[in-house]
Amino acid sequence: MAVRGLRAGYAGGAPVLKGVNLDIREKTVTAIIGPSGCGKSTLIRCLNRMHEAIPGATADGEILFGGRNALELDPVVLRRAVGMVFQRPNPFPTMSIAQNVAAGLVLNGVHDRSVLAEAVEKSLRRAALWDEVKDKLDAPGVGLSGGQQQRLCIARALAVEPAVLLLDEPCSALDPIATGRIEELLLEIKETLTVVIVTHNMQQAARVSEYTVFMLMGEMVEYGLTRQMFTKPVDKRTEDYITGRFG
Amino acid sequence: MNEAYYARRKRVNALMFALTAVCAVISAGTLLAILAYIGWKGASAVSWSFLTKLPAPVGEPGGGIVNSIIGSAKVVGLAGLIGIPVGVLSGVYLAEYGRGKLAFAVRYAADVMNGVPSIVVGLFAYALIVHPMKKFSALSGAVALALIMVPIVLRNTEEFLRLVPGTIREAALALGVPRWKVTMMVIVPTAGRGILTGALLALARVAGETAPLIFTAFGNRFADDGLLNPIATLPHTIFTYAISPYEDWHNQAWAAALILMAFVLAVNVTARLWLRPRST
Amino acid sequence: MLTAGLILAFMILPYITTITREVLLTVPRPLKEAMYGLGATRWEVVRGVSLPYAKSGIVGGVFLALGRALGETMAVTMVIGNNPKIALSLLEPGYSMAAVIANELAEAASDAHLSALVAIGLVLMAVTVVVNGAARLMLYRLQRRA
Repeated sequence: MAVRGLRAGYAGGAPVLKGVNLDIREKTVTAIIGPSGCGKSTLIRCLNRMHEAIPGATADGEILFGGRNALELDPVVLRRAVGMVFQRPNPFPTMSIAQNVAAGLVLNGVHDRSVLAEAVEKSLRRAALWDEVKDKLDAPGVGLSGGQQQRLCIARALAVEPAVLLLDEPCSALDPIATGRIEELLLEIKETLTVVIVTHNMQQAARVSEYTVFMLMGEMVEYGLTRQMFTKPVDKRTEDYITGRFG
Repeated sequence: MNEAYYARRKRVNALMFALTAVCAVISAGTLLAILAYIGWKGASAVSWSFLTKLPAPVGEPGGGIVNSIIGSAKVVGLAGLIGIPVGVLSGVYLAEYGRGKLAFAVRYAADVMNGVPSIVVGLFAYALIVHPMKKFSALSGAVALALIMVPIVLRNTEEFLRLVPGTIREAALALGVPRWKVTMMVIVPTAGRGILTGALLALARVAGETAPLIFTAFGNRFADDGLLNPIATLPHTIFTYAISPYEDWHNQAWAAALILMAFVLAVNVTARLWLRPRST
Repeated sequence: MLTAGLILAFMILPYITTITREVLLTVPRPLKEAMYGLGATRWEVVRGVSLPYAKSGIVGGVFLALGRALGETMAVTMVIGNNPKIALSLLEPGYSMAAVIANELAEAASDAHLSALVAIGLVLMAVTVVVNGAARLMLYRLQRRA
């Protein structure tokens, strides 16, 4: 996935993204860090065009995905290939655990029970949740703990077999143990798909990502190997941020 | 602080509290008094044969109101079949797609329609169906009641859909599901309980409507047939019996009122219990 | 006519109660707490903060209820006396627009009679639409602020 000159904003406000260029390498974990309001959430929400779900939101530029501009694709088609996990766990309240995981497939017209059951198990295993819920697949999804709910949401996103998984501060509502489990599973799933994670937690970026993007006031300041950025940052502003001098 | 002034403020406070409490008791008391009076007057005339027999010929004692009960069920049921889908779908439009001038116009019209007297709605149904067909019918009564239901169901549906958190909508959209499917298969079921109770309450509300039925469903002393003939309904039967000169009919009107009231009360109580937030 | 008025009073009472309660519940807590914090009594908070804040909502609710009373048919028809004259005393029988329609439409034989009744319906509807339209705007104004 590649971003070219992406500008985005909200109704009546100043632009939030002021021309971002970025190449996201396949089958790696890329972390986006930066202080509050720098546009990191807006950027990730542009990648599968969830940004547009907000009334009055605007975006122009290019997001190249599979050789085509994602901003000109049908958003529904794009979102099947580019899944998303949100800040707060949001399982569907009327559905059981299994129904939650299968929701994306069912809503896209898959009704074969054995196919669905297989997808549910596979996705829950990938999200490292299977062992905890295999005996209560018919229990309501909202009955799980916060960390389990978030892994359920990851399983739900994985079930439609996306090529890219976007996570928008997925651990901000979770305790350290639940956060640790999610970080572990990210390291596993990157074997099969591209992961982009927004985080306000630099240690998290250092732990899970191979590449890191540092954003500041709607612009991309630095982009490179995580290892390098956290040891020898090129830009003065990056250094200030990661050493805690501001932000 | 001035002691005397403070004492006066406290007295005013106590006085106003007492005044509001008395008014509250009057409000609640009237309702209870009405319920009790209808219960007392009606209970003596309710019997199994009253519930299961057709009305006796004029002048003869006895007889029942089974035709009115079935008639009400038919007219109200048909009204629900017409009014609920239209109301729910318009509510979905307002909550999920409605923005700008058109949405405001629809919402405002629904709110104003909600206050239009039911007899005017009945008049409309009369002009629309009874007059061209030259015949009173169950269908025209149902259409009148459906017209009354639509704005109620619409606004209720909209309110409950707005309570569904935006994160649920985002979660479904992010799975690559088309907007209409997200709405119909994820959002509407999430608000389903509220929408359903709203529809039930609207049914209960129109079940008690008399005015629009006088010249649409019209009433019928015999077992009804079909949807295109005049039909008896509970509220209308209560009305005709109550203004009649016969003592026997007066008693039957009280009894019928008791049954109608019990039904409306039961639906209301069930709906509230069902909607009560649960401990999870 | 007095009986009809009394019955209507009791019929619209629950409407006014529920709407008043709902608009009073929209009064922001911090506003009330600020007043309590100044040492105000409960009634002073109600009069000084809650009622002024909810004023347009309560007035709107009262008008909605009056609109309903205006169109209420059956209860009025049964007690008002159905007398097609203008009576001076409240204790005399009278007539209301809704009651005329209810009583006569089903047996209106001539086209002229029918048209007259429909015209009454139109007037009735126009009046209620105006009353309701104004009342709703008042309620919307409160909602937008909340």
